Amino acid sequence: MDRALELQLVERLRTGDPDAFDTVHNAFNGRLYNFLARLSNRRDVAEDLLEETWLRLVVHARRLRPDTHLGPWLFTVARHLHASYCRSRLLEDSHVAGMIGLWPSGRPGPSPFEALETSNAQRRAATVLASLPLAYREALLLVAVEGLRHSEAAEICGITAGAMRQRVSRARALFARRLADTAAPGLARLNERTT
Amino acid sequence: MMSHDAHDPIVEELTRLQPLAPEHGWSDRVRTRCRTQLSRSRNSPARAGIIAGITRRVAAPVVVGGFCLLYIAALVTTTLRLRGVFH
Repeated sequence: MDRALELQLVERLRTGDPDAFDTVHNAFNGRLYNFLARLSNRRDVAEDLLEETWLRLVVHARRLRPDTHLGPWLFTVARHLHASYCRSRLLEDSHVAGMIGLWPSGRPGPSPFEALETSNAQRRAATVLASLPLAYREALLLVAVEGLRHSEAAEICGITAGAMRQRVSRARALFARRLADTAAPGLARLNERTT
Repeated sequence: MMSHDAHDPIVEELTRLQPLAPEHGWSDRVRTRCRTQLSRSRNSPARAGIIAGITRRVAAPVVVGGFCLLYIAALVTTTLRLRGVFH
């Protein structure tokens, strides 16, 4: 989004202009949904978190700083909401598992998103992305998929730009390794044995 | 969407992923709800401003005027009592 237009939109949001909200919604709704859906691997969770993200924007619209970068602001809110969701889910799971000891653990097969991918390669990439640790997944989603700068992604994740660069590099390496493993698992095992 | 690392095969692999999109009807419902809430928050300070304006312009003079009337009434009563009118 053009910076001048973005600043203008922020100004209009601060005055409570609903048309400015529409413009921001059109620009970021798909991107935020993709980010949250790939992060949570669940459509219903992504929808809930996205709705909450937009409501947060509405509530905080008047208090936005005039120089706010809307993209990073929205992604930060979405990421925080997802982190809160994960924390509450973890707490819920640990309580229930402690009580009945029969709670299913681990990831239950491919998500509907993975099944949606059109080609085998896409399906593999989606599966591998979903299997990455959360910190690596969000780093790749922000930098590689959303095309944010390392500094912007770092700000969203609350780390330094250098740490983000390192995280992305590690995430890339792990992604590549797992992708190679899924492409030819037998060959990957053979390589592991010979090296 | 990509701004850098355009020739990175890993990045290319990721950008080829099907972008996941929310259901259109759902998005519209959320947008409408947020719009309504934003409009309401836009109008409510205006309403509060009008109420504050009325209070400042009407209520304050009424209260001050009331106290003045009470004071004058008390003054007149005291004067008349001193003159021996109220005996």
